[in-house]
Amino acid sequence: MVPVKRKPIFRVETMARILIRSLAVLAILAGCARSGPLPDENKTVHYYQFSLPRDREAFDRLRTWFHEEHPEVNLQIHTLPTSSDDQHQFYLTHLGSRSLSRIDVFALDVIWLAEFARAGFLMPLDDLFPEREWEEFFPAPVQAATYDRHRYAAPLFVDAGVLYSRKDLLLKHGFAHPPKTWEELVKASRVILEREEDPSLNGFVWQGKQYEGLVCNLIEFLPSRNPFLTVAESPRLEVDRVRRALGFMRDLVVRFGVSPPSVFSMSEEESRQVFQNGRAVFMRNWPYAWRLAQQEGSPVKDRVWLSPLPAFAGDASGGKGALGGFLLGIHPESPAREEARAWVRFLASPRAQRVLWQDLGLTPARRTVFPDLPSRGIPLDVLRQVMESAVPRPASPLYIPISQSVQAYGSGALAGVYPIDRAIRHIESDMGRIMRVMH
Amino acid sequence: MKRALNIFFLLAMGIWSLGPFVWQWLTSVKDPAAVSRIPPLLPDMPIWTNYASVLQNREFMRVIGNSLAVSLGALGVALIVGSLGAFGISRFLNRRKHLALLTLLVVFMIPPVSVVTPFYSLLVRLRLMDTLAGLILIDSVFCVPLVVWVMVQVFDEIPDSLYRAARVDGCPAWTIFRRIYLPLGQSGLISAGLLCLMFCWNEFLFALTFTSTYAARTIPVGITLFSGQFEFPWGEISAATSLVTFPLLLIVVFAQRYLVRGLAGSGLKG
Amino acid sequence: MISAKLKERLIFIGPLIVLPGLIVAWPVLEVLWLSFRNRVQIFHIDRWVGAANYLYLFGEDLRFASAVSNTLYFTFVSVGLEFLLGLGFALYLRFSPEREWVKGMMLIPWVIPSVVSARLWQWMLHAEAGIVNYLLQSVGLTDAPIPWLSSPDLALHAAIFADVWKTTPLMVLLLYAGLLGIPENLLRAARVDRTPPFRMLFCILIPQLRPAIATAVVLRLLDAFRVFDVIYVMTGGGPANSTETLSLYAYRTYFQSLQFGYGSSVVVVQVMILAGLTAVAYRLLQGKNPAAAGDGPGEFHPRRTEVKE
Repeated sequence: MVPVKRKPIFRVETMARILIRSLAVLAILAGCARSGPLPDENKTVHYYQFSLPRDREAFDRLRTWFHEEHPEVNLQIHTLPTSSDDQHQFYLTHLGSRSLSRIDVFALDVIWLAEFARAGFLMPLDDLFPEREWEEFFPAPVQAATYDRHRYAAPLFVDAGVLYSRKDLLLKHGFAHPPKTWEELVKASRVILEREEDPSLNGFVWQGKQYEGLVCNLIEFLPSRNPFLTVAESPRLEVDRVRRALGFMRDLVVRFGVSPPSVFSMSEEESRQVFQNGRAVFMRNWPYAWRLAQQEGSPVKDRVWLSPLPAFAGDASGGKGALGGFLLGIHPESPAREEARAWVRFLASPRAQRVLWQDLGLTPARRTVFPDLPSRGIPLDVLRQVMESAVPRPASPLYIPISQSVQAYGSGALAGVYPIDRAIRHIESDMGRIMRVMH
Repeated sequence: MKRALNIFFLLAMGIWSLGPFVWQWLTSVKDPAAVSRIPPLLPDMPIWTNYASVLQNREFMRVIGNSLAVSLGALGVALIVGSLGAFGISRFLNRRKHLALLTLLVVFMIPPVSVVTPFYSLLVRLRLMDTLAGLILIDSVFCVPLVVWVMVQVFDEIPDSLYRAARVDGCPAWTIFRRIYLPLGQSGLISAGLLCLMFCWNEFLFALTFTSTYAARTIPVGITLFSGQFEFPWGEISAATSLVTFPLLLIVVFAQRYLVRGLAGSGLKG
Repeated sequence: MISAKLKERLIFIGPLIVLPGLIVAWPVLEVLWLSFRNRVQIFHIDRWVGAANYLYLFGEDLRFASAVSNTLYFTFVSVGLEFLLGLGFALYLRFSPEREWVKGMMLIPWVIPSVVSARLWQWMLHAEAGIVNYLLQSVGLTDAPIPWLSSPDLALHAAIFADVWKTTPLMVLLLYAGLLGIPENLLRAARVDRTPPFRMLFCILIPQLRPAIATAVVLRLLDAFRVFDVIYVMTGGGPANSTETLSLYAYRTYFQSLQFGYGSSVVVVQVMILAGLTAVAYRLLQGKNPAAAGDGPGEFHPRRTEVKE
């Protein structure tokens, strides 16, 4: 094609000039944002945490209080996306090349603790509180903060799996209280499903998508409080327990027909939508769903019971929720160590814990604040009972890679891609490789 | 018959393109407590609280600005560097042209995950962490090869005789580039620019890793910040995306004639 | 004299050497080098393992094998569907009365950030609460809700569908532009001859469009092969890794399994497959080498001569 003189659409040169100019302006702007009087970096605490809706107001208040106590400390709060995986990747990158990072205090998911402690991202905080004060926290988060006999973090808030039941449906069909055993739950679901004859109603929804939540659910279906992974010299999979839990989870869908096959793609929100729209009798979820189910306009408002998760009949240790929540760690190379410790102590203090609960709905990790806690409409006694009996996930530095494998093959076994025994063999062979690589 | 077919096509296209978008918009004006409930398909009364809370969110406005700045900035860098490079490759590298182009293509193919860590160290050393300039730099690394790749095709089509005639007249290469090649290649620039814009607009991993405040966060990251720990506030997110999409929509509708005309004249059609 | 010539060239090539060149050179070499090492950065494990990573990758790693096949399947099906749909839309736009707003409307899915469009589809395909199943059920096409995302057979297709929705507009744009470039007299001649529509499509339009098709398909191929957002958001790779793609596997190997060395070898293989695919696609579609992309077939192109100075 011989180039024909076409009418120019816009003059390229003009465009280029505009672009160059705007770039220059941007560069200058970026420069300005960085300059200004620099506060004393040794008195500055850079705090990183997940973001939450409306966290700004709560943290503004906390910051003001903290400043009253420690006027010399300059506090910088940075927020990260709420997804735990995104944060994990962020911290790996930023803390991985250490001398470069300036993260003094950070909120870490309970499952990262052992990994970060082994990596040297955390300094021991045994003496942050006197022993008596450590006991004011729920045991599970303190246990989760412990690695190799040292406490590497302070609890920020706790979470654990709970059971939501449809009060109205249960009462209507003669069940006076939420089920205490899984067997009762299955029976109640079947009875109600049968009598209601509503094709859009499901029995029990939980989280079976291939993600970390699947492992939390798995823990809650274990036959006892014993872990599915023994963390000794080298982690070992407790094959029998895993087989039983996976078997029961699959049975819920396939044999008992109380859970829809779509639980295999549900994370928290998908199951909550189903439950909140009145399409499920029972739901396993975290306490966050309570406020949403009870809000004005919710189809199930005032028709829900909150209770601890059931146990298997004959399991004396009772039901248990998998522990979630976040801890507060301090980077060992922080130049503002004392200031950082002060901030961590402050966030774990009863006063701050109360604000986090009141403004953001984060369950206090310090159980001593419970007696005079405003209830926010949630049955606090149930909440406290659930947190008392929560079980942490296995505290292995290799937890995340192992969990990856459990998620993948566990999900395969649930969806019926292969038998459970084969899934377990796959997990074990993955673990073998992980341990060889990480040695 | 022809008319019916026409209407059918329009309808199909409308439902295909607009359906999900309309659904998202409907979600944004539904009562948050019943947002996931169907039926009803339509809310009784549109509720605008989601929009109010997004519009009051000054940070989100900043995020939109950042996204525009990063996209346009990287676009600018990529167009300048890329068109210069394409001219150089097209005119000066005879035998090594294939090699150069393939190398650039490989750069474009690198999965971002694999270079996050080295790029992080680089940005820290350049003191560009958490800045728009840093994101522009990294994004343009992936955009430049794209521009070069498209523009080499365009420049290759411009007859050599033109170049040589100008050379004989004593024109320096720079002038030839500016006076002949750029004007002739502007349609190519438009199409290459379009691809770059889309890349930067969607880019998530770098924007996540290389920012820690609102100083440089872009839309894909900004949207994730609306979430609660488990809760995914559909209403607000739908409102936010609708707000982000409407202006773009206007731009696209207004600019598409230029886009299409530009593309039609570009090397992309061969 | 020579230095002046060099200087002149440096103006053009120089920026290229700095911008992608220098910035990328080191990371790329590092990825290559790391792929022969076992590096677990955060635990300070870093040792040479030779070809062990690759041996495991090709020998024992079933997850890698399934990631490759998922990625290839995703790429071929989604690019194929996008092409067909895109061609349909483009033909419609070209041969129907011109309506600006139709074109604008068609471009909408393309401007929604992909993270959001993935969420949107996840939401609409929700088995119990999603609108897709609701509509299907109320029309009577299905009795029970279809588990779009939780069935290992359907999940990948759901992700493909979402991807097709999001990126077809680009395909339309590129093909439509190509159609506009077909000389009017060629079409007029065909009309005068009363060429039947199908003949017209296959014997005139498609051959003329070949270069545009080649570029559009290759661009989409490059992108689809790296798919991450859609899958990450919609299914997280599940159920049972049935939707895990190479990019997701690499991401997980890097940042969740913490293995930077092994992750690098995954990436190296991924880039090599992609490069091979691109070359093949180009050869098939264009009958030329990618680097020689500029000159398509036919009389509409100048004969190109090498520059001699």
